Formats: sequence, C-alpha cells, structure tokens
Amino acid sequence: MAKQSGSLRGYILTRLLLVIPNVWILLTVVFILMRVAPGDPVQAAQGGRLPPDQIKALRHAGGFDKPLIVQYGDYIGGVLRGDLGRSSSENRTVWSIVTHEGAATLELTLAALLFALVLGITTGLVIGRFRDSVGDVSGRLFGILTYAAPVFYVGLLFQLLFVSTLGWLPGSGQADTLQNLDLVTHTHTHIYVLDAIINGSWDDLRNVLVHLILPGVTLGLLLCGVFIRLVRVNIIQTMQADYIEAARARGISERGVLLRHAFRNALVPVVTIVGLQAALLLSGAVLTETTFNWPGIGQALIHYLNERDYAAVQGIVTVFAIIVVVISLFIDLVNALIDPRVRY
Amino acid sequence: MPTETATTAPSLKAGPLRTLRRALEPVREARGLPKWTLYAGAFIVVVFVVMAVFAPLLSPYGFDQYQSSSGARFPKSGPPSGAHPFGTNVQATDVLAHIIYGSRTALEVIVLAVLFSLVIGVPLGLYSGYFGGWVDRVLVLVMDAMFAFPSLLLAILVAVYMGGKFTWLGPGFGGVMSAALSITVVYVPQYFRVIRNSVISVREEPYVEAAQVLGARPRTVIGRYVFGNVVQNVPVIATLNAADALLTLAGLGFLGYGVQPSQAAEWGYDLQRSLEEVSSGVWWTSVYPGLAIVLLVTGLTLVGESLNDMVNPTLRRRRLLPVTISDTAEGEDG
Amino acid sequence: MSDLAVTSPSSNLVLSVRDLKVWYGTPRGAVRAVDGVSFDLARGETLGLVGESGCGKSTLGRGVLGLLPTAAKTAGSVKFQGQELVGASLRELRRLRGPSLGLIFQEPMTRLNPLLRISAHFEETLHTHEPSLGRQQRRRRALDALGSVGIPPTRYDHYPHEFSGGMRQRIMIALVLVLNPAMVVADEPTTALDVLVEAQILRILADIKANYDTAILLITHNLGIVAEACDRVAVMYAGKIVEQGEGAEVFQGPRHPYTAELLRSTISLSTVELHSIPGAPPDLVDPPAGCRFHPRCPSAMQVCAARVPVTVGSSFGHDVACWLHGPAELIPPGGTQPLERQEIDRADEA
Repeated sequence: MAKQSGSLRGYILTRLLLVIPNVWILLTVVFILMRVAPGDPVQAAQGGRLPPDQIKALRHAGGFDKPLIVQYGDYIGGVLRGDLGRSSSENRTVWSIVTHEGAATLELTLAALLFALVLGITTGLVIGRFRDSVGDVSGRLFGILTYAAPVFYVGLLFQLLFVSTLGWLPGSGQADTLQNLDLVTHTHTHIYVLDAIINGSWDDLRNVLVHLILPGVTLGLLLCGVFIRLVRVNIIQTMQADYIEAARARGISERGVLLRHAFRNALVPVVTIVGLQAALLLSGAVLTETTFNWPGIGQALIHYLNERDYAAVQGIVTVFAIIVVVISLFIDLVNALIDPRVRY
Repeated sequence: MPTETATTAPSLKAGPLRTLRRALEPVREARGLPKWTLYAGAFIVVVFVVMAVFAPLLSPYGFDQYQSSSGARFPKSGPPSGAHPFGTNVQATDVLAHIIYGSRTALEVIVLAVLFSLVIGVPLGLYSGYFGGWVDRVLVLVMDAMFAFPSLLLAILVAVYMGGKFTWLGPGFGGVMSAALSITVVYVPQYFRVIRNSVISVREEPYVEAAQVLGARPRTVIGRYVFGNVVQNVPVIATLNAADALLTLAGLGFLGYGVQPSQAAEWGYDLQRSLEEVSSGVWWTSVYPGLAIVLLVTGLTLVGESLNDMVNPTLRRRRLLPVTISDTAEGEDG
Repeated sequence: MSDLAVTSPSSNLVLSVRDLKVWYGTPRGAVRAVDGVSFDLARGETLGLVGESGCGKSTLGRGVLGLLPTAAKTAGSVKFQGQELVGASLRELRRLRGPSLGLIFQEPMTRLNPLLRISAHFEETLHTHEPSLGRQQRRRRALDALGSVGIPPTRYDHYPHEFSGGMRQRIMIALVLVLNPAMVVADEPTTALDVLVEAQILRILADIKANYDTAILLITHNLGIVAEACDRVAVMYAGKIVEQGEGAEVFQGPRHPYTAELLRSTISLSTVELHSIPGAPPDLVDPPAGCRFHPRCPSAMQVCAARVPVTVGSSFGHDVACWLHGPAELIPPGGTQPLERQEIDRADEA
C-alpha cells in the first residue's frame, strides 16, 4: 500500500475519475429497475383514471412513448444537466422535492450522525480498551441490541414511553403547527434548525429541537451499534500493534499511548466506516421518517411509491445514488489527507 | 482491513464431511465467552425454529382467525387476557398467533434468501477471484455499486418489480418467494465480495501454487484447495446475513412492501399497523412483535459473532493464565 | 552455592541479574521461558546473548524492562544501578524506560506510528522525560541524535513509510539515543535487515558504546555478530545460561558442548560441510530433567539426565554449567558413564 508520497494529487485525480463509472453504473441500475422493469410510469400512475387519449398525451409529454434506449439517453442526459424530472402525480419537480423534503432529511440524519458518533466512538473506545471487563460485555450487548432492534421498533417504543406514557416529547412531525407555519413562511435554507437561528426565533428553535430529539436518537442508535462494534475491534487490534509496545518501551505514559497512538490510529478506519454508513443512514431515514411522520425525502419516496408516481421515485432514487457516490468520494479524500499511507 | 482467513493446507482426503468438520473445528477448540455466547444464540434460534416448524400445534389460533371456534368475535385491539395472553390487534387477530406464525414466515424468507444469495454469490465470487480478467472487473464494479446503494431501497424497488409475479406458487408461498428474492439482491454483493477477497488471498498460498504447477485443473484446485479454505467463512457470513435479512424483511413489511398480510403473519407489517394505535396507549401490538424480531436477530448475531471470533484468529487473544513460580526439582540448582 | 563470578568492578555495574525467572501460564501449564538466569553488565560493556529461537532470549530482554504481558510471572532479582526492578511499580518502570533503559526492536518496519511524523515521535519522547526542554532544544537534541545515526535533518518531518527498513531502524536507535540511557537492550536489531544495513547498525552500536559509555545487551542468534560486536557473551539454552565469558575466550575454547555445537553450525567462508545440532530446543512447559541439553548432547553422561548441572567458574571469568567440568564431588559414582543411545532417542521424542 505504501508507495511514494507526494502522489496525493495523482490519487485524488484517479479517485475523481472513478466517480464517473460509479455514477453511471448506479444510474443504469436505477433506470433498469425503474423503467425497464415496471414499465410505463404514466400507465402505472394514471391507468384507469384518465381516458386513453389523455394518457397518450401525457405519455408523449413525458417522452415515455420513445424507444427505451432513447429514454435511457434522455435520462442520463437530464441528470448530467441537473434535470431530475417531474412528478407525474403532482405538479412539482423532483428538484423541489430534494430541496424541501431533502432539507428535513438532512436535519434528521445530521442529528443522528452526531449522536451516533459521540456515543458510539466513546463507548467503543472505552470497552475496547478494557477488553473482557463487565463494561466490555455489556457494551457489546448494547451494540448487538441496537443493531438487532429495527429502527421503527425503537421509534415505537420511544413513542410509547416518552409520548403516550410520560408525555415529555412530541412524537410526530418536524415542528408544531404554529412554529411550522412561521418557519415555512420565513424560510432561507428549508433546514428548520438553521432557519430558526437565522430568524433569531428562539421559540421556533426550541420547538424544532424538541421535535428532533426522538427521531434523531432513534436513527442515531441504529448507527451507534455499528460504530461501537467497529471501534471496539479497531482499538483491540491497534492496542496489539508493534508501535504501541515501542511507545511503552520509551516510557510514554499510558495516557499518551492511548491518546496519541491507540485512539487516533484506531479511528482512521472509522472515517471509512462512517462513509459506508451513508447507505444505512438513508435506509434508516426512510424507516424513521415513516415512524415519526417526519416530512423528509424518505417519507416522500414511500408516498410516491404508493402513488405509483415512478417518475418522482426515479428522481429521488437518482439523488440517493448520487449522494452515496459523493459521500464515498468525500470519505476517500478525507482518508487520504489523514492517513499518509493511503496516497498510492 | 483484509478479511483474515485461516489458510492451512487441506489434506487430500477432502470430502463434504471433512469440509464440514474443518469448518466446525474452531467451534470445538473455542473456550470461554465465545462458546457461551454461541450457546445462548443457538438456544434462541432453536426456540424460533421450533415455533416455526410446529406453529399449528403451538399457536392458540390461526394467524388470520378473528373469531373463536364458537363464532364469538375477538375484541379489536383487546388488551392481554386469559384467552389472548398477548392481546389482539387492530384487525382483531391474536397477537401471540402472529408471533408464532410470524416466525414461520421469517424463517422461510431468511432460509430462501440466504440460500439464493449463496447459490448466486459464492460461485460468482469464486470465479471472479480465481480467474480475474474483465469479467472480474465488470462484476466488481456492478457489485460495488449495488453494495453502496441503500439496501432497503434496493429491496423495495425489487419488491415493487416482483409484486404479484409469484402468485402461481400459491397464496401462502408466492409472497414469501418474492420477499426472499427482494432480499437476495441485497446480499449477493456481500457474498461476492467476501468470497472473492478470500479466494484472492488463498490463491497466493504456496500449496495452491504447488497444485497448479503439478498440473491440477482449475476445477480441482478451486474445489479442493480454494473452496475448502474459503468455506470456513461461509457459516459466519450466512448467520450474520440471516440476521440482517430478517431486519430487511421487517423493514419491507413495515413500509408495506413485504409479504402480503392476507398470505402470512409478518412482524414488520404488524408493527406498521400498531403505529396508528401507539398514541392511544395500545402497547401490546407493538412490543411483542418487535421483541420477537429483536430476539431472533440477537440470537443469529450471537451465533455469527461467536463463530467469527473462533474462525477469525486476529482477534483471538493469547490467553495467559495465572502462574506461580515453584522451585520443584530445581532446588539443587546453584 | 556459587554465585556467578562478578567480572567487572562493582562500582561500574549497570545491571545485575540474579536467578531471574519469567514464566507464562498457558492451558498446558507454565512455560518456563526464563528459568534462573544470572549475569552482570558494566558501563561501556556489550554482552551478547546468543541461542536458538525460542530459548527465552527475547523474554529475558523484555523482562529486564518489565515489558511483559501482565499475566507473566517474574521472580528473582534485576538490579539496575542498584535499584530493584522486579516488583517495581509500573510508574517507576515507566520513569526508567527511555532515560535509563532503552530497547531496540527486531522489526523496525512496524515500530513507528504510521500516522505520526518522525519529529512527533521525538517531541513526544523528549517531552515525556525532559519536560523542562524548550521546543528549540528538543529539536536540536532530536536532530543531533538523528545525525549521529546518519539521518539528515531534512527528513525530520517525514512520515515513517517514507523510510526504508534500515533507516527506520536507525531512527529507532536515535529515539533511544536521544535520551542517552545508561543501558540499551538490542533485541535482534539486524535480523530483519540485509547484510549491508546490518554492518551499518552494528557500527552505530559500537559508536554508541564508545561515545556514551552505554552498556548494551545485544540479543542475537548470529554468532558472527557477537564475535564482532561484543565484549562478553552469554549462551542461552532452554531458559538457562549455559556458558558465559569473554568473547574471544568462549569462541576459541568453548567449554559447553552446546556452545561448541553452535560454533560448528556457523557458516563461514571456510565451511566445507554444513553441520546442525540434531533435534530441536525442548518444550519449555516440561523441560528435560537434569541438564536441559542432554537429549541433544553428543557427550551426554549418566549424571546429565539425573542432576541439574552446577555453574563452575574459571580464573578468566569463564563460567559454564556442564557436568563435563565438574564439580567431580557432586557426580554420583558411575555418573560419568556415557548415556545409552536409546535413552537419548527416547528423551528426544519426549
């Protein structure tokens, strides 16, 4: 792995070029699944509801009467131009779904990621350091349980406990009606937390944060289990590394060994792991949003699936595919900056 | 991190029984915590398998039964009682019956999904890892793309595509088949990757090279030398994927894209139906089905993780026992 | 009972090891990796510790610094500049590791933290042991140490993976030198390196000794290195030191059959026929009774299988633990009869 350094630029260039086949393959998979397999979106969405000549007109307007290969070309070309298509059941573009519902999803996933990183990495480091202790065993059990419990089940239990029984927290939506109205009318980013801060409305901010707690923790716990398990394994492996013994032989304090050598080195692979969780995070977001009636892109996806609005679904799935590729690119680049050995 | 595989030269007397014994060897050698967690996990799994197999005998009612044999209607969302120890749900069917029949659905789907994934993923991985070439490169690109994609979405899209394609298998089994295939798509890339990586590392082993130099055909080399060593990883991935497959099935069911509720009892779907009642304090329709998922996934994970601890020696710690220094037979030493 | 003869004036003594035992507990029983070892090391002296793999050399080297797994049991005495190290607190040992006791490892490739620059390794080490130093002083000290092993200052801010194995070993040595320890344990420092680099490293070790008057415990299986670089040599077999003395003394007139066999096995330009010692080092869980070498020894006697040999000295400080050299009064009647051949075979199988 370790070759000449200084080829960082070469590495970045190669990695950037790799994005093209990655995106292309994913888009093709999406196209095959969405268009070749279920057939005509207009027929699926409006079949039986509209007279045949209207359907024909809609099909022509959407370009669905062209040969598949031409549609494939149109689709790829559209994505390249930034055109993700239009919903066939509602009068809105996929781009507007991405900016509105997508902002709510971003808010949820970032909160979840933050929670998972803080809790997961600290727990993983501590239980990996004190391997086979009571804390280690219970930490591992916690890791397995957070993995074993489906997000929507955890969400349901939280709703039972904190919403129905204790009544401490709201269990549905992104904000209460009043604050929601305020934030929708005075929007800048569509991200409620940011908008509330920009507007300087502390009442809105409090309301939004309170709504964010349960969905954020629920989705965060899903990731947390993965982090705990992987950080634990990494710290155990790192503690056995030769340079740890060498540091001890130089009389470095145990604190220094842990902080400068073990923890840091064990966390480098975690960067990669965080990147790999992007897909898990998106799957989890779909489920969490459904559980907490969170108006995000995952709930929108299920809504359009149920409406058989495959044009909207295709657009949303395309965005997911691009997000996954971009995050994996970002993670690889960050890794190359942190770990001097990666630049091959 | 490369996947660590134990690569000891297999004896020439390779056979299915021997392969199985080799695969199970680490289990016999294991001690302490891994063995204990293996037993605990295996116990949980066995309980669910028994429930699945003997569902009609164990269950007080059928999963779609909404009235007693005397014709009395079950209560709608009735709390736990003598007649319904886990209560009834919003469709007035018995929750306990859904738990028991749900384990049948779960195991059917899991077994099929793991089986399909193995049958597709392992040969592709063996071929790709052993021969390389452009087929390997194309497969890697496609599989990596699928692996990177949110698994639940992939499963949903395939489920939408599969919808109603298996009705000819009968009402009970068509839904199970289409759910199993939707899940298979998610796990084929995983088997492919793991098998391919371990084949590549085994391929470089001196004894494989020796067999090639001696003129063994690729089939012989793959079958006898490579497969024998790679197979150790299969039980680990299979159990861990089974756990994950159950979660994917439940997720599909929760979103309404799993097994149709008229065809079988499915825990994920039950949880979706309980969502509307949670705010009115009805807890038994969500707590019990969810618990069933958590338990079975935990059981499978414990089995898989313990097997992994045993097969994958990088994490195995050299266990040192307390020792006292005695001077027996050394007393005359100067 | 005879203590080992102290070869150097005690005022110069850096390290004094007496009857050191290091045992590991395993499911099969206690592994007696080091089993009653005694030796001394004086200022500016290099002691070569030789023996086959698995005879306890590395455990002995690590044991001196207390760098053993927590489950390992240590008994006996290790006095470093008069201070007892066996049973010393971890805190105390940590204070000594680095400024007083340095350790050079066998595999330099993995001993530097791949994520830290070379400069960070030096900064950390100096900051830990000499906190009063300023940033500039630390840098000067580090560059001096690197310079003495031939690493130019321009490489100070590079990462470990940018160096070859030989350079990394020199950096590891500089990391030891920068604190100017009174004693250095070098555990097979050249085994992982090629011959040219080996010569460089040995020359650096010789320079250290000459310039800083450092005591060096050089652990190796290579007799050539010992002959070249060591003042004295201790030969280890199955957890025990069987012979020790001045290097030239031991090489010209080996008194223990194991030393003689080792010397015969060495390959040199004049080698016309390869020689090897039959058998393998014994299982340290259940070592052979009596002399541990007797199953492989060409001159084994009846007494060798029955009694543990006693260490006998000579006027030149050349000690040996072998019944061939007495003491005669401890050998039972008939003990000097050769050991029957089949007994040797049987012991070998065991």
